Amino acid sequence: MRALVVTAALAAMLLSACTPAAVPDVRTAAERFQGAVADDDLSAACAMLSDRARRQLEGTTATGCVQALSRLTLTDADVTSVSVWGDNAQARLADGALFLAEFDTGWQVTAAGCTFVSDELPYDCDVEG
Amino acid sequence: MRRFLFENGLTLFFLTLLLLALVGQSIAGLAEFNSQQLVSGLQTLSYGQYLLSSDFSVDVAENWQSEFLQFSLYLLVTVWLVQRGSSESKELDKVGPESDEDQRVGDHAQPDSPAWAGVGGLRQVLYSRSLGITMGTIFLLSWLAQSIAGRAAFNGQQLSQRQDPVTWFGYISSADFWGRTLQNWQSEFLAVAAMAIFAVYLRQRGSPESKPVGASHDTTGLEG
Repeated sequence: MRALVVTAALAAMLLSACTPAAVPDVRTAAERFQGAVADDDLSAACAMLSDRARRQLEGTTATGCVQALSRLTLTDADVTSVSVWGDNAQARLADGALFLAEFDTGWQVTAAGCTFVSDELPYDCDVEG
Repeated sequence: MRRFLFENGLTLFFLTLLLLALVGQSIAGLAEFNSQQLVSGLQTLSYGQYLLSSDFSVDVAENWQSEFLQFSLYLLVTVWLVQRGSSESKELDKVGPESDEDQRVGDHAQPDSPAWAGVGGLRQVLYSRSLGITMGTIFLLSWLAQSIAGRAAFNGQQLSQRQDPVTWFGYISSADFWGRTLQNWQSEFLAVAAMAIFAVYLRQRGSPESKPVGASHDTTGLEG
């Protein structure tokens, strides 16, 4: 009986560590963001940013999100792969990465225009919050 | 019912403490986790979500594996190593797996011995080591669970800090994995060493983990 309880508890731990079924949702959110950037639909792109990322962006230029985004040259490369861990996710692009997090309203972009620096250091991102 | 509670009091007491401690750990863990989430501008978790999270799982598993390692090692090491004067040690001349007669196995099994103690062959070999095998298996499974849940929690943190997630092999060679593992192991080893040596000179009246109060310091393997 005790062995059963221990086994069930261990199984629950292992299941909790599995990559959630959120991968398609993250991929959709990342592709919508990249699509908005490719179409130059910056108000749509701004709507997909997390509150903190949008505030950070607006704070850097003291202008609106759309104007601030227009001054950046974000890549419109395709999403090549997605990894999800808990309520955090990364969408790899052909030439960089997006980072996303899950909120009540769904997956939002927390960092964009990110380029790899090194294994020890964070990505260098044009937008982050 | 009352008789059942009395006869199983030791197990039931510690299982109850386990549940209470797990509830306390989960409440404190949730508060800490959500505090960090708010600082990072991320969404907080409900109590149910936190119980199923990798953050809670790794915190539980890292302690479980070290406890089961402690008991597994203690079971195995006390077959061969002794501590003069300790109630935690067997007598100095009994080092090793002991004779079949001492262990009441094979032809020396008693009428009330467990069935597999007297059957010979693989079943007797397995039963003779069943406690160590079970505890050791739970240790390995708990450690595996720690590595899997720990990787998930670590990768969530990596992503929130704009860093790449790591593979399972990458994680089990990381400082996070070994820091979590060794900080638990060192405390278990300290507790066992302290118990083995303190039991030589100190007593707890009425406890089978201690020698009788009046037993000499030189008496080894005697439980009170």
